[in-house]
Formats: sequence, C-alpha cells, structure tokens
Amino acid sequence: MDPGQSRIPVKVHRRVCILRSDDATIIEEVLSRKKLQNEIAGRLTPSSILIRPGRTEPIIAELLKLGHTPKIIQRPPL
Amino acid sequence: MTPNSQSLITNWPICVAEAFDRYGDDLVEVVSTNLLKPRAKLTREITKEKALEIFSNPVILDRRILGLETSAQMLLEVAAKSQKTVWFMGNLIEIALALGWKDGVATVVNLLESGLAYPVFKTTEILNPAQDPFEALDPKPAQSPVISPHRQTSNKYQSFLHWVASPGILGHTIFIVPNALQRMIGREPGLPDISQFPKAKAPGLAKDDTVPPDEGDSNPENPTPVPMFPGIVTDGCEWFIRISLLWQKTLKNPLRLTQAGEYFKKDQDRLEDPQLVSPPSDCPVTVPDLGYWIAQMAEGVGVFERVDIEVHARSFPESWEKGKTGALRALLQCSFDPSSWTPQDGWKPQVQGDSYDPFPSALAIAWAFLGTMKPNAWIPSAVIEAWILRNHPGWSGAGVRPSRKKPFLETWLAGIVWPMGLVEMAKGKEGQLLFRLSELGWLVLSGAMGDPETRVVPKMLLIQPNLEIMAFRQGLDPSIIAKLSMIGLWKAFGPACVLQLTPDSVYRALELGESFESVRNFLDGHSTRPVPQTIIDQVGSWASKRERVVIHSSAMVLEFTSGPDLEEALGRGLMAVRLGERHALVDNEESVDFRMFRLSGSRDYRITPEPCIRVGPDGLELFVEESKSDLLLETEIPVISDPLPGKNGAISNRFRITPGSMGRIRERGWTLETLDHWFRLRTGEAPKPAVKLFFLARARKPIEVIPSILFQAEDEETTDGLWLWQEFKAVALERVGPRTISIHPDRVGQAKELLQSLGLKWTGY
Repeated sequence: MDPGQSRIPVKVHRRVCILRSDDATIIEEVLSRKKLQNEIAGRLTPSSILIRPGRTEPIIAELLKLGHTPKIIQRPPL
Repeated sequence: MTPNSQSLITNWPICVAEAFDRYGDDLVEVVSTNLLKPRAKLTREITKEKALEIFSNPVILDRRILGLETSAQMLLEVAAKSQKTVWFMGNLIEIALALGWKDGVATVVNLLESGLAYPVFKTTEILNPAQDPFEALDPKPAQSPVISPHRQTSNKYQSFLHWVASPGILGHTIFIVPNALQRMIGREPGLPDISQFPKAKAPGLAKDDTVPPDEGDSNPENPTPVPMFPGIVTDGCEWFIRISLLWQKTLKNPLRLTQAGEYFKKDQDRLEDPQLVSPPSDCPVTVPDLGYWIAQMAEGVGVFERVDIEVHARSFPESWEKGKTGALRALLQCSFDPSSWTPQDGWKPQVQGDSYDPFPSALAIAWAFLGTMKPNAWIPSAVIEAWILRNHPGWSGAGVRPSRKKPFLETWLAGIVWPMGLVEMAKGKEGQLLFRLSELGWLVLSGAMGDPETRVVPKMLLIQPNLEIMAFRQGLDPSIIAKLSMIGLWKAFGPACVLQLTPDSVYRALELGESFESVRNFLDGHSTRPVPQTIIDQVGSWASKRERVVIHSSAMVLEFTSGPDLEEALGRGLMAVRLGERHALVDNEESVDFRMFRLSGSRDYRITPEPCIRVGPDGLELFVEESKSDLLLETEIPVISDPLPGKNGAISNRFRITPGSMGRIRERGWTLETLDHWFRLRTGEAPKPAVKLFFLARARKPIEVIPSILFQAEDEETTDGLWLWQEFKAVALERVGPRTISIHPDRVGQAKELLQSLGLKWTGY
C-alpha cells in the first residue's frame, strides 16, 4: 500500500452464506418460496440473498428441485 | 482392510518416532544396538534421529538386511515382492510358517528387533488425517514427525513379546520401512523357483536333514509347460472403470452396512448390478461376488471411505494421476489385506472373533513365486496352489475342512490379477491355464513408478452428436478414466467404452472442480475428430445455467460506508465481486491486503452474535449500534420495525416498532417465540409488553367497551362503606379505585336514591 494513501473504513463479515444471481427473477423466485423462509435471512442487495449460517443445504435442494444447477463455492476452513 | 494404510505409508517416519516413544528403555537399546550399532549408549531422541538417517543410507541398509536371520530375510523378500508396507502381524507369521520356519513369531520379532519394521501405534494424526470431504488423503511431509500429545502418558513395552501379548484395542499392525523393502528388489531370490521345482521344499525345511527330500526337489530337469497359443494380456484398466462405475452409483447415496457387516438389501442390489459384475471379456473364470470385491478395492485404494456404517465415495486418489503402474500396485495390495471377500468363498462378512483369513498371506506368497520365476517361464496356477496347500498353515495338516480346499488361485489370478494386466495368461496343452508376470507385472513388482514404454495414444475419444462419448481402451489410463467418470455416465465397457453426457453428469463435473473450459479442453485434447459444435454449445449451456446461481457457503463480505469507498478499494486492487452499492464479496480471504483498510467492525457468522440494539424506554424504539451489528440484522431490522428519519433526512440508526411492522413479521410466519428469541439475541432482553401487544393484538379477545358513571367519595372509608352495603353493591358495576365505584348509566337513578336515603349529597352528573 502506498504510505500516502488513507485507510478505507470497512466492516468485515466472515463466513457468510450468500446466494448470488444476476437474474432478478431467480432472486424473486427463491425469496417467494415459503419453504425457504426459515433458511433465508433476507435480500441483501438486488442481486444477493443472505442465507442463515449453515443453512445452505435446503436451499441447494430446493434450487435443484426448481431445475436450477447452483454453483457452490466452499472455502476450506482456516 | 488395513486402517488408513495409505496414510500410514505416507507417514511412516511418524510411525518410527511413535514406536520409539512407546518402547521401554531396554527395547530401545535392543533396536538401537541392532540398527545403529552405536559405540556408546544413545538417548531415545538421538536413536530416533539416527534411525531415520540410516533409512536413507542404502549401504548400511544392505548390511542390516544381511545381518538378519534367513527367515526374516525371506519374510522381507515376500513383502518386497508384494510391495506392501503395512501388514497384519498374523499374516507375516503365516508367511514365515508357510516358508518352513517353525517359529513364525520369532521371525517377526527378529524383524522388529532389527529396526527395519515397527509396530503401528496409531497417532491421532494418522488416524484422523486432516481432509476435506472431497479432498484426497492429505499427504504430510515425510520428514517431519509430529509428536502426539497422548504419547507421553502411554505405557511402554519392555519387549516385543510384551507388545504381542497386549497390543491394545487396535491389534497387531506392523509396517516395514519402505526403503528396506526397496533394497530387497533385485537381490538373489531366496524363494525356490517352483516353475522349475514344483515340489520344492519350503526353504525353512530345505536344510533340515530330518525331513525327507521331496520327489520334485531332486528333479531340476522338470520341464516347464509350454502354451498352445501366445499369452494374452489385458490393458489393466478393467477395475479402474468398474470402480469408477460404482463411484458414480455411490456418489449421492453411500453404501450402508448393518451391524453384522452385511450390506443393506438395496445396496446389495447396487453391488450385484449386472453392468458392474459382468465378467471382463475373455475372462475364463467366474469371480464370486465381484461387485463386493470392487467395493473392497475402492475402499482399499481410497476411492471410498468408511464412515461408521456408511461407505462414502470420495475423490479419485492421487495415485491415479501418476500413471498405471502405481495405481495398479495399490489395487494389487488390496488382495494382501484381510477382508470379507475371498477368491474361494466370495463375500462373507467377518464375524467378530471368527475372522481367520489365511488368504492375504497365501496370495502374497503366490505373487512372490510368480516374481521368482524366469521371465519367459509359464506356470499353471495349480502348481503354486498345491505348494500353498502343502505348506501354508491355513491348509496343511489334518482337520482342514474339504470346503477350504476348493481351488481359489486360478480364480484370483485369472479373475482378479489378469484384468489388472499384471499377468499374462495362456492355455497349456492339457487345457490348463498358465500364467507368468506381464511386463507391467514385473514393473509393479520392481517398485518402479513409471509406466511401460507403450505407444502413446493421446486421442482416444469419439464424441458423437447424440452426446455419447466413445472411449477406445488403447489410450485409457486411470487419470483419463477418472476424468471421464466425472464428465459422463458409464453406459458400456468393452473394447470401446461408451459414456453419456447428461446435464447431471456435466453438473457433477463442475461441482467437483471442473470448469466449462477444462471439460472442453479435455474433450478437444483427446478426441480423434473435432468435437461437434452442438456438443460444445450444449455443455456450455449446461455450464452457464449453473453459473446463473452461485451459492457461497462461507464467504467474506466487506461492507463499506459508501459506494465511493468500495470503488476506491477496487481501484487499489481488491479482488472481489461487487454485491451492491456498498458490499463486496471475497471467497479467498487470504487474497485481501488488509493494510488498505481500517476495520470498523468484524463479525464471524458461525459465532452467536452479541446484542447490538438498545431499546428505548417505551420498548418500541430501537437504536442499532453500527460497530456490533451484522448483515443478518440489516435484513431483519427493516422488517421488524420502521426506520426513523435522521437529521436532514439522512439515514439513521433509529427504528420504531409499529403495529404495521409487527403485522409484517406475522405474515412471514414469525411466532411469539421467534420474536422473543430475536429480542433476547439482539437486545439482550425480552420484548416489552407494548411489542407483545402489537404482535398479539389480533389474537387477543375483543376488548369490552362498557359505559359507566363513576361515583367518587371524599375518602376511602366512605367508599368501603358503600361497597359493603349490599343494596348499593347490587346497582354498582365495579370498584375501580380506593375512592371510586363505577355504576351503569341506567342505574344511576337507583344509586342516587340509595345515597339520598343515607342523606349523602352528590355533585356533578
């Protein structure tokens, strides 16, 4: 980092479960599934949904049932 | 199977260190004297260090091998020819007994005392190697022994017989130092060449004058059989393909075992699937319960892993990437481990306490005999089998059940080893099957890692417009089979194999770490003709469909105070996916240069959050503490409450619970318990009555609206008097305070009359 540059204030959220899609209809489709109400915390941004910690499996199962093939990105534990 | 034998092999220096720690002082001295020949007594730690040094010194290793008793040398020879490092002690004793040495235990103890073999005292690191569910066994650095903490408190063994008597709950497992086995390769064999001397005595008996010589022993001119036609040898890919097929069938649904060690019925059906168990082409024998053996091999080489009573499919082992020779060696070694499958009886789950299995040692001896023959000599399996039946303690002597004497070696050699490509097979003049090691077999036996020099066929695939992949076997090897198994579904395997590309199979490949580009490059690189454009488009379409929804199961989200700050960070090289105006997502935390940031807060979502909301005195107003809040709260708080405007219309951290906001969460399925839990989690206290009222108002009974007139006396005593007066109480509704009684408007006249009768005056209404 350039010593002359100021530091950017940021808040860090670690080990977050996020569903991301550029297709707004998919986001709406997932949000409208009553079955997933307990797994979804809410819409974080127009293109992302915040999933409750450790609750990705039911979401993946439901997406597969809906005919989607989600790409799952897992990070190895630190 | 030997528990975690692959891991034991990788971690053998740890096993050496572990063993020395568990040896008593006397035992350390015995091993140190034999192995290091020190001039002065060495400490335990120095002995450990010097032992590991000696194992990389071939000259001293050769001297130590020569210093062994002949019986131990021959034990090493069989182990070396089998290329097997980890053994159950019982199998080693059986080999020594079969080779004619009367005291098999003494032979094994001699090997242990020499310091060339060690008991396995399984450390935590070896039993539980760090591994991701879909990662191959984690190879630890071979030269960095890790000290297990529990080692300090374990009992020490004063002699190897002491260990034999009390091995602990994990039994007697011995590993032989791989470098010592390697030094045995190419030495003058001690085993007899029974293709020349079919009735040769066991080496241990050969010098015993009290045993009469065998007839065949004095007939060195015994002619070796000559095959009618040239021998046939396979490409060695058969079991890799079958294991891959079973891997595909097991990936989503693990195999399950009952407490008795038997597979559940539906899993038996999978293991008896005709596609899986169809005999390999040209194979002249029927292998009993082939599917079960394939499952055992898959577990032995690490494609499957047993977790409790379930057998899970894992990723293909690293050895499959390193060529056919090493991968075949691992397959072959599965035969030398005790298991529930034998070539004689097929699948027979072992019962606790009745698990005697002489086949590992018998098959290891049979393999060693093949490796002792001249390269161009042939031998009928019956000759080796007859030698084993004569000498092996599992068959020799009286009292052996006739069922135990059923032929088994031909089934093993022709049905298991021949499809591995390790032996050549031919028919003799009398119709009997003859065997000898193939070129690949000699390579496996020699411990070499490279594959034989064969014509390289890099292009072996034909991709058809109907999404079928034809794979010609000439070019297949374990790594290509593994890759094909990830991309397509096995439909048929013969001289040309057929796989089918499906959305699920492509999705599976992508899930296992492949990408559209890598799949395309693989198909392009190995296809004999250009891959049809329709296929590329179809695979691309499946892959892109998958890219449309991405789930990050454990990502890092950076929350900036403003959009320009996020732009600034991206401009300074932050590798992140933009989520919105102020949020960016990073999958690999290590790629972030945190020096450019000033952290205003940090939150780990796998840890229970700390309270981050202060509640106003009325219980309805909420103040969010920014430094402690998180994204979950950011999505929850606008639902549970309404934001209050800040100064000059700016966004504030103040929110207010309203009847409307409570209605919203009710519609979302929240219950009073959920609300109570949320309040305690986020505010550290229970919701105030006003919040509960807003939430439950609709569920409450209707409030009764009662018209009434209040009679308020001068003092409490007067009101008490009126309330106790039955006539007055009869017209009253309720005492609502110390000085006040309510009266229904219709009865005010009667009440006034009663007051008048007492002479009490009233004012007001």
